[in-house]
Amino acid sequence: MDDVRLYLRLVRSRVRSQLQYPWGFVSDALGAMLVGALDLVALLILFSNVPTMAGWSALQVCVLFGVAQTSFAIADLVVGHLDSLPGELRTGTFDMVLLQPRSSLLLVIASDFSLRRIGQVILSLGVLVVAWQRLGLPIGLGTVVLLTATITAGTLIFCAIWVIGAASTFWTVDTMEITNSLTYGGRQLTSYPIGIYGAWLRRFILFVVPLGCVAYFPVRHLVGQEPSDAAAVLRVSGVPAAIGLGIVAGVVWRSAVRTYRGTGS
Amino acid sequence: MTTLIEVEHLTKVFIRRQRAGLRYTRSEHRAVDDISFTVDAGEFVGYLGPNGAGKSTTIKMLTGILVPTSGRVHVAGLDPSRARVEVAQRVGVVFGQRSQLWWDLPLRDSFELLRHVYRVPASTATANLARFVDLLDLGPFLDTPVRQLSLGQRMRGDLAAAFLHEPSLVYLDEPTIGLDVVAKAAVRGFLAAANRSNGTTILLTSHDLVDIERLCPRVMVIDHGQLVHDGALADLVRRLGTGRTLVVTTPEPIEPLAIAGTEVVRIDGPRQWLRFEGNPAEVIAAVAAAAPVVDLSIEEPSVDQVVRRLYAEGSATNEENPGG
Repeated sequence: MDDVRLYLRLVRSRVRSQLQYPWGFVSDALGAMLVGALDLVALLILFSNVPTMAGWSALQVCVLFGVAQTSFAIADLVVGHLDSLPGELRTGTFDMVLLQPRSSLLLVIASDFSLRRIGQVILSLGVLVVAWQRLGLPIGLGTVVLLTATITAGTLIFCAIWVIGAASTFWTVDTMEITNSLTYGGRQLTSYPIGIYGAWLRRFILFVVPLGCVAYFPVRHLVGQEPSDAAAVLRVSGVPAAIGLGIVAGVVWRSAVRTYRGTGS
Repeated sequence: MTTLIEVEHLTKVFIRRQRAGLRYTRSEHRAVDDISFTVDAGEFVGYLGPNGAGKSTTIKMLTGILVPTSGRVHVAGLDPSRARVEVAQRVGVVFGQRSQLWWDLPLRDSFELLRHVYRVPASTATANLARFVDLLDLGPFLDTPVRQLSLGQRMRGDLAAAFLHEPSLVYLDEPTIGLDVVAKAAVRGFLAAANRSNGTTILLTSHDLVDIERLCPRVMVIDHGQLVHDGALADLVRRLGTGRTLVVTTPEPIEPLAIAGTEVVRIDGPRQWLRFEGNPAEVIAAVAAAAPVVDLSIEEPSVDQVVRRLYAEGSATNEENPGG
């Protein structure tokens, strides 16, 4: 509890200092929004050529896009700055983190908060809401709970991948690019119905990187694309996947820090 | 006196992998090599050594940033490599080149955040801060963002930050580097007061010997990873003995004096500086016999000379062995 309070306090100070120049912030946020909008344009261009994709209509894919991109954008907001960790290791700034009587992961995550990335969160949520309404889908308690759980689990999965990727830079000098291909690339993969991918890629997404659970199964159910013989439990499979991956990320981080303290480099 | 730091046979070996063609070769570098010492609560100790001698590696092991290869470290009865968080709660650190303050926040806000990082009760923090503002004269820039502070102001801010949670032990790495005379005096005054009135144990690393001379009754010197001196500063001077200097003044400038057992280290018009070891009476007699003398005086070796020589030797032999 105390850790949560400290996190919020540190993040609030980051946010306040980024809002000192409100116009700079607004233009940055709009820029981030524009990048997300380009992905949406790409999706719409695809659909101007084909009426459906693996049986999904454009609006249905937009719901999937909205859910997956929202998860990604929140994770980017919260831990996206972890890709500066290799620099901190090189310059020794990370030593200052180890001198403070707190969890090193907490301090590193709380050390920054790129508020401008909120632009993409807003855009993605907007796409979700608009597509939802145009499809005339019902809004009930169950739907809201499932959507919230899905987005939260997705966020946790992206965060965990980021942490694991950042931790791996303790061993290797600069592999953050591999992680970025998983997170930024994963955002693209999960924004489309996995039916469009080949079998091997589908298996890779589902099991090697549990990104597939992020949005596909629950959204498939919500937009009425679920096969009648599909197990209902698949819809919430993202939750245990997220918890599992979160634990793995914690363990990997701890052993990475232990290695750092053993070798000092 | 209670023992605060206990170090026994402490060793840190770094494995370095170097690429030679397609192969990697492993080489060992003993950054800290079997050192042992204890520090009592309330001591003020200078920790000296050339760059790369193992100073910062030792401090990193004392704080738990690094885990020793072998040997034992205890700080306040705790093993920093296992209880990093607990040790961090009792320790304050100032690294002259780095800051734990938030660059974009006013000094006051940094203190407020650190108070929460270190779980300091509000009343304690307020009282301590009031004292630090007074001692370090922080008042004029307490509401200025840290990035706009001068080096001296920032250092005073970092000092206050390191003492805010009332640590029983503080490590200072070059706290006066780059500061002007006034700021240096403020820093020294603050450290002396913290040590005297709160009994805070302080381990100080500095290239500025005035810091060491004024503050540290005890000096440890590390070189090539080994503890080469542990005792009073005066003993170090005596041991390294750069010798005393005889200043000879003649009526007119003359050729450099060639006296057995001495070395002319400086000539300035009619004055010559002769460095010597041993009995001054013999040297003076020899000089008086060799030249017309108007005036004679003897200069004691300064600490500055001693340690500059120590550092110069260290860096010369250490050039192939940087880091650590």
